[in-house]
Amino acid sequence: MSRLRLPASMESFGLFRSFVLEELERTGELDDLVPKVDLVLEEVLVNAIHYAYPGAHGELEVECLSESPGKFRVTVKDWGIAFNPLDQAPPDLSSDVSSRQVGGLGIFFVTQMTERLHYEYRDGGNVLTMWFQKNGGN
Amino acid sequence: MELKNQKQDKFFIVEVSGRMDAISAPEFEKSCLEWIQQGESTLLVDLAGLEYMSSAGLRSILVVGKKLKSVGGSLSFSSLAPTVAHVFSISNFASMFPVHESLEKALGNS
Repeated sequence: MSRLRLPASMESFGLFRSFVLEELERTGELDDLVPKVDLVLEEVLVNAIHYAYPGAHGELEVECLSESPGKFRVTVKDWGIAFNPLDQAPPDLSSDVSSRQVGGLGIFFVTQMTERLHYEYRDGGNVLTMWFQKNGGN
Repeated sequence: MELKNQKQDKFFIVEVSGRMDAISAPEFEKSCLEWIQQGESTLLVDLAGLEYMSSAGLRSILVVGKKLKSVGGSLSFSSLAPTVAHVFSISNFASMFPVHESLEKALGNS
């Protein structure tokens, strides 16, 4: 398992991304998961960077692991305000430009592009674990 | 992300390449709003060179789409790569905006 802990800021975003994608590419056979992992990671990290520590500084920690053949796991932790992404209302998916609400798609993509998601508030922090399965769904 | 633009007949064509993510999407939004401000109202966004789009990209597209709608303009897209097409599809953006297979078809279709 590899782990990286950095300040919760957009400056860290590229470093977290390289860290996870390099780990995923090292597993070789999981190459085809790159687009999904890339997207889900951005949605989760940007969300945490923007909302976990309102008006304050904090850190994020990302862990990743090739769990078994074809299965990759990513865990994102923060120690900010409690936020369960699995509890959010579904996004507005209507096709009318004028009335459609802006936003809410990030979490939706996370739910659509992972095989499984698990959230818990543990030891004073949010812990979101995401599993990606080769050739699974979407 | 790189943006190029050109005028062809009534179309103001914006070619976007690279990645449209939380870092680059605001630049796309700002540029489009400036072009609209300058009087362009028929935007055709060609995504042939775009390899990645996140919800931040869609957010900017929706802002631009709403602005164009309010001035009686239009926003359409062409040449989506499979990963971008997937994001358009599950977010229902593919029903909200006209999406053409290629730039040529988009120009010929209206």
